[in-house]
Amino acid sequence: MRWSAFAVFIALFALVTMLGFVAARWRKADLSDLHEWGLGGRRFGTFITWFLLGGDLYTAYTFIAVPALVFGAGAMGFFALPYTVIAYPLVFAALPRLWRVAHRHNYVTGADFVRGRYDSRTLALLVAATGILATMPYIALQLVGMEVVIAALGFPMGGATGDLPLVIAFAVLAAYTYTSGLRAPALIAVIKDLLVYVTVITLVIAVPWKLGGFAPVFASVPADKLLLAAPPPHSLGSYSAFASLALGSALALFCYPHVLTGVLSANNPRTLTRNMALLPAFSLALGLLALLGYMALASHVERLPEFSPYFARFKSSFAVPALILHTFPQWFAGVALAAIAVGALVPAAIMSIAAANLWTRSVYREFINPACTAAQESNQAKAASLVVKFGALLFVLLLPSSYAINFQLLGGVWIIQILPALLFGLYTRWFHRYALMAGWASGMTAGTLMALDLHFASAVYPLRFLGWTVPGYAALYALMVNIFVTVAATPLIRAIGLSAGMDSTRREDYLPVE
Amino acid sequence: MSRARANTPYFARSGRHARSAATGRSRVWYLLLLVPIAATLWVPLFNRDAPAFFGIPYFYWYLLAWVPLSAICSAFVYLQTRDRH
Repeated sequence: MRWSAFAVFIALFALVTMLGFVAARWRKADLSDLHEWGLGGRRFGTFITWFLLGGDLYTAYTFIAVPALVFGAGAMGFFALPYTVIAYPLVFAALPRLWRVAHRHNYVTGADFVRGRYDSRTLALLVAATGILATMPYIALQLVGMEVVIAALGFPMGGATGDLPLVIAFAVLAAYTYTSGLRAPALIAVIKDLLVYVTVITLVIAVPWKLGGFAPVFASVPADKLLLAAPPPHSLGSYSAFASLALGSALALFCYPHVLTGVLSANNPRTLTRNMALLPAFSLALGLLALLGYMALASHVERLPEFSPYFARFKSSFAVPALILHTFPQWFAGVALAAIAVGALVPAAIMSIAAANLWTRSVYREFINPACTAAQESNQAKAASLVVKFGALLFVLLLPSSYAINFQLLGGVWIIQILPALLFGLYTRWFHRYALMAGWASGMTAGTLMALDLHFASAVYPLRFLGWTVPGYAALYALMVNIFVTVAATPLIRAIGLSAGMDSTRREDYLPVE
Repeated sequence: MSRARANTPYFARSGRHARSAATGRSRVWYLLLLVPIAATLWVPLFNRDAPAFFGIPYFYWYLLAWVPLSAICSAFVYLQTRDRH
């Protein structure tokens, strides 16, 4: 055990837990109302939204996986940077529209919007099911991130004693999410983000200082990993892979239920657009974190005997924790490891709330108890959030962590398939609801087949086309199939004369009030 | 019920912020948002190591530099498209 690191870690964890329970009384309101429990009453201003979305988008897994990818794969892993650069401009104009229509009709989830827009509870169910399916492995991955941190604190790996801290941390998380709803992660996100900034800035200054500047850091990177490999003849090679990974990830980001939950909890659309300019501060932190992968490489942490059992178990995911333990005195390592662990709790809480909202609105109220009272609806969501978290915990405890990673990869491929219904739906109702279902089904099938064909080893599918090879992110290719089918099927279905349903939103619902 | 109950129009709460109509002229500024997207996705623009900056190869500092640059683009579009009255 690393006792002083552990002591600091426990102190910070206790502080966060206290905040989680206190949050129930913050901006006090009736939590037996779904939009209070599940969206914080849509009252978060620019400041809290910045911390909340920052804590939501940049998860513990990001902080471990991105540097790990750069540590292992070099320049290709850096696609995470353009991904976060372009994510905000892509949705800059769309999010205020979504916020306005959701606010006017009390939509709590993206599926609620699809339900109202297309008058189809089946389409809404597909959107909700995709969201829940994609969120579960994402929560599981947060737990995988926590496992790495718990091991770094010196707990034995695996076995009942190794799993116990994880179970306790998650039970505590489940308890305050249950009582406080979205208010808990919103308040904790402030602490989490501050801890992350302190850790990242300290690491990015301290490590190059020790190694003698950035030049030696990059000098230790193998030449073939420092830049993207030039494409071979008749192929777009790593260039199209890099760009499509960034674009596909950015498009998928705002389809994720936990991100939409963060977006809808803002107090007005201007809070959102303002945050589109403020959130890149986190991207800068992420970019610097990605460089930590090279710093770990330059520090040769994987060759240190004290870390070898960890690298054997967690592979390159241990690069950042190893760099932290290697660089800092123990007490500060405790701060840094707490930053990662709390970085897992915040998104895990928001994800479970988002999945619970989807279940409650699109399954429970739609198919099981349409006459439910507001209190019944809210209680159902609270219970669902427990089930979701418990499910993710079992997933991680019973299955190897590679399953969580593979399913997360599939999750990205799946979640992007709701983009036509959700994002296009904000601008036009030209697409027919049955065509959207057909497109969704084709995209899901195509994406899953591509992932299976790649044996989950990669997300990049080498598409062959007119004698050229265009390696690209499978999610983006599957989305193209989806859009093609949706566009082709819409006039056909209309020609048959199937009803398009009643749109319960009006044009002015999407626009600012004049 | 619950659907009708929480239908408080948001302009009733925040009337001052409600009027953010993007007029035809200011909507052109949205095109500025395409610049960071093109600049960071067109790989041949930046896939080289020179010139380095404080020992950081071009590929890396170019992409890092686009983080604040795209934030500036977004902030500019925000200022140009918010309500003017």
